[in-house]
Amino acid sequence: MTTLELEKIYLTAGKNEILRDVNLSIGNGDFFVLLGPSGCGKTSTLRVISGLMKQVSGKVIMDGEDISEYPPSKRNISMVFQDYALYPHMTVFENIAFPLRIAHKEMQYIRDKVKEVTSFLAIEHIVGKKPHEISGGERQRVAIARALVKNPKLMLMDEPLSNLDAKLRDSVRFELKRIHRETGVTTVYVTHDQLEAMTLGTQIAIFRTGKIEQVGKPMDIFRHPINTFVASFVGNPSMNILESDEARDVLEAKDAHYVGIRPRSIFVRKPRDASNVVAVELRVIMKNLLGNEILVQSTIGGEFVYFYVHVNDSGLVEEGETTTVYVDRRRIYLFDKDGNQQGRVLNEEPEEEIDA
Amino acid sequence: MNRDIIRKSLWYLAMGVMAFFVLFPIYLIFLVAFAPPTEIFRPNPALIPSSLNPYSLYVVLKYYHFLSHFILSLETAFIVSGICIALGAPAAYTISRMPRRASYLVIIFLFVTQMIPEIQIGVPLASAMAKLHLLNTSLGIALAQSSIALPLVTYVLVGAFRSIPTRLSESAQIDGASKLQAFFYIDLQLALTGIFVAVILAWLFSWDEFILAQLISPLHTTIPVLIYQNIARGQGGLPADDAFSLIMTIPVIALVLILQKYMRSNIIAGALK
Repeated sequence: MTTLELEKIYLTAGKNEILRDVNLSIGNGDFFVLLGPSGCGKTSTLRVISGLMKQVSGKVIMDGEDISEYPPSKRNISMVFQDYALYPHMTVFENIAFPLRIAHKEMQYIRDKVKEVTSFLAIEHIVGKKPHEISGGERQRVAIARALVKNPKLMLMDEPLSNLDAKLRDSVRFELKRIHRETGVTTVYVTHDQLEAMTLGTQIAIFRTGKIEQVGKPMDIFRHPINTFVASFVGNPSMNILESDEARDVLEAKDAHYVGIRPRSIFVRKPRDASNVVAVELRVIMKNLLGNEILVQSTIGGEFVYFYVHVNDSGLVEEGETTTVYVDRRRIYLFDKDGNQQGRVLNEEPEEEIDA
Repeated sequence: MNRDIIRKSLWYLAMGVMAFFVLFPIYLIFLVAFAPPTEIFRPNPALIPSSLNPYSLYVVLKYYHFLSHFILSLETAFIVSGICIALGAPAAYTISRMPRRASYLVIIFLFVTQMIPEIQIGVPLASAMAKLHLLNTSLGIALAQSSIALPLVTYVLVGAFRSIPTRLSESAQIDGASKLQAFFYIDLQLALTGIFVAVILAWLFSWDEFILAQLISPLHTTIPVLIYQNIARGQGGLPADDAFSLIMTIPVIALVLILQKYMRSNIIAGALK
């Protein structure tokens, strides 16, 4: 059982405010993702939790106990670093055994435990090698094994996938999900990749310049972004956010300052149930063929709108011509002039309809 | 195929030239020490002697109380290395983890002693050693020599520690190690190559050092001082110089050979990314 609370964490580096009163509550067994662009304070938050960085004020509370003054070694946490940080002078076995040796565990226990995690991560065959003799993917598994071996209360991960090539990243992402499911270890995971956040997280906190913008389950955030920053950060491709009079006019959003539509909510064919549909005229600029679908760049009121069409519908959108597209009124997001969400969200819509 | 052979033979040729440059002077010392003086001291000395005899070595050992000077030199060199590592390594580690600007300032201050000629600090140092009753002792010479060697050693070690990413020590702390344990198990292990280089540097400096050794230990002299005195006084017809040179070279070669197997380049390989 592990819960973690951050209470008004304030952190500075010189004159810069890195974290401005960050509050977080992480429940037992959560896979809690800290998401945000670089320099937003997510990694600093992780380092404050680990104890490698000391906050100026505020508390870190684990299982009800204030651990703010504890050094990293006394927090019973483990961490997977972005660049793995394996000990180069030790073999893979020694690397994984290090947390147990430091804790003066018996040799037999250490051997059993290392065997357990190495077989769990399918790296038994490389235990005798040194870090420089194994591949990047294997190094990462070793780093994860080292983090798991001492049964930590809390596992911290700092962008663990960003150094892997794209192909490997997909499989390791599934692997991380498996590891979390089977171990149930409470995890805090830092990333700037919204795809990782959406697929891995049970909870997501979105950071922006040292503050948390929104916390929630991935689909809740996706469906109800509280402002334009969150709306454009979560979801791939990014939400189209428009502010021209023309766009707001057509989308029946004159009372809003910004209006947002996700690219996947724009259709070139009129839906069968047309009761909630708005028709919009767009000027098609360019088409990008992506395989079985086409990414279309178009404009309305001088602003770009991106959407997808199936290759079979390619004929419906011609470069340089206007085309009519259909948008479900309930999938139109309205924001005020500060970018905060106002009114209309797709509350009434049943969940399974969303397949974006 | 052919290109491989050419590349290989060029490689061996280059190695041969290098080896010649390094080994030939050592051979000359050996030659002069062992060959009959009549074959050496003439306009065109023979490179291959007709006979070898250890006469000059015998002279050195018999007439110069050689062993006690040799031991003094060895003691001094090892004490200097010890002092430099014991004080230099912790200092260097701290400096390497300072913000760049602060560390730059500290390093500048380190080299202040280097700006004063040895001969100038030698006399005050000698009088200080006299007050401490350390004149004519290995410890006295070693303390004086360390004042010169320590900044150099510290500087070399700062480089060694800087090349070790702080990330590794952080990782060790998260794995449950205290800061001190992280230093001993991680940083120190990875700095070993640098530390051995520093040991050799300090050792060699002390082994060759003349001015301070002369001022602080004028009665019981180290080998460089002994050689100097021997030359200055004249040899009295005894062929001792080259035997001295040979004897001075042997421990140096031995030390480098022993420590070189610990010298590995790119020790950090595989640690990050």
